[in-house]
Amino acid sequence: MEPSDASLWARSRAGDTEAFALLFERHATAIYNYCFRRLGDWTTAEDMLSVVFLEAWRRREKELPDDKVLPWLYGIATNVIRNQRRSERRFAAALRRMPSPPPEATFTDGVDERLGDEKQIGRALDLLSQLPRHERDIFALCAWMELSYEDAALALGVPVGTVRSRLSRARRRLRELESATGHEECTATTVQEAPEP
Amino acid sequence: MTNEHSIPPLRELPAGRLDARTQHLVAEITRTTEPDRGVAFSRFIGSRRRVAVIALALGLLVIGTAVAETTDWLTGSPAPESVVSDFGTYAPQLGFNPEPGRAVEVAVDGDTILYATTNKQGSYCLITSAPWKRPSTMPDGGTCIPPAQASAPLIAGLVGAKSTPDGQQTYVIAGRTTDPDARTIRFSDPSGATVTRPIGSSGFFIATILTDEGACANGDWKPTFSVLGADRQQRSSHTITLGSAPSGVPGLSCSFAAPHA
Repeated sequence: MEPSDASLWARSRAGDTEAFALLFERHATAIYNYCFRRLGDWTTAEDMLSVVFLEAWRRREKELPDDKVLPWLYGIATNVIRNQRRSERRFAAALRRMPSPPPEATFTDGVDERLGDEKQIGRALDLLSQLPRHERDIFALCAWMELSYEDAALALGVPVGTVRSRLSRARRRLRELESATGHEECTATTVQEAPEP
Repeated sequence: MTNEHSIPPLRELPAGRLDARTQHLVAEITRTTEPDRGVAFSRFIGSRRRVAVIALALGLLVIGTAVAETTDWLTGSPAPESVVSDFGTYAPQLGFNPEPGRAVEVAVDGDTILYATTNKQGSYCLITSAPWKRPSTMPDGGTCIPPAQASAPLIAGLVGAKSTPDGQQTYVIAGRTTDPDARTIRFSDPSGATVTRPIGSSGFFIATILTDEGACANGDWKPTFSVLGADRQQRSSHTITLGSAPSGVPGLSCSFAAPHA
């Protein structure tokens, strides 16, 4: 049976690097994609993935509610992205020690698809950038990463009611922006409802 | 801006990158926790248990001497401090405990150098120093060979690679033969040209190969390694897959493995 996030986090807090590595492997894809969707670049997202977990390790004294490790990691990722340059400076030496991928890797992993991803998310980010920062964060977490209101609240350190109101405002603004700019319906108007907590 | 239409689908990290990132993360967090251990140890050594620690150290010294007798097979000129330090960054969570103090230079090909050291698991670990990746500037902890592989008559695999903007590829192939009378290794590069290199210390060899095409441009790169003696006669031969094309289809894609039998 796989150990729970809570038990892995408890072991990590005690300094168990192996447990932390398991948490990394378990949540790397989610955080990697979140970083990509906020930054629009797969390569940068990979570096930010490392930074998020290095920062999480630095803050490992934090006590977390059971099974709330992933929302907490989303919160760290949001801060790391918000302060990207500062985060990169803090972990510059660690990032320099990351071996470069072998040249073959650039040929093997769906380069065309990833370039298409970057163009696609670039358009979405252009629109999102017109929202206030707090609404951007909420929208990205709830609509793009499908966090519940409760988890988004934990990630951002705000009350659940604030998440609801900001998300509602973000959706309304996006609809207005889309109708003003003539975006196609599929690019902006229909926002999936985040699951209720 | 729906989940379905306006944002790209979730994707995994590129092949091999999750492992690489995990190893990097473990190495980094191990590095950051080392000072804590140092503080804890200095407190401990100052306690009344000092005598017990000294006794334990003496015991380990005796054991270490015994172990050294079983690792005398590894010879070569002492490795520089940067290599010793690089071996020291290897993450033991990966299953090996390199012994950095035993690191030696074992093979050279131009400005590319192979270093080896023993490990507590009874095999050895390797570090490659190439012009684009020196241990002093880009330490990575090296690669350790499982004991089952290390005891094979011959192992070989990729230990470094680089591409240039004009499309040329450089592959660094390294390995070891356990044949004490081996003097030369011979195999084919991806285009079929013969590569011949001298055996260095303790049976190790290294070869830097420059090609205009990918390693799997002609399908799997699966050369036969000929081990030659001092008389230039073949003593043994071993076929090892260095690069695998997906489904055997020639092309730019190619996957590699560390030295193996």
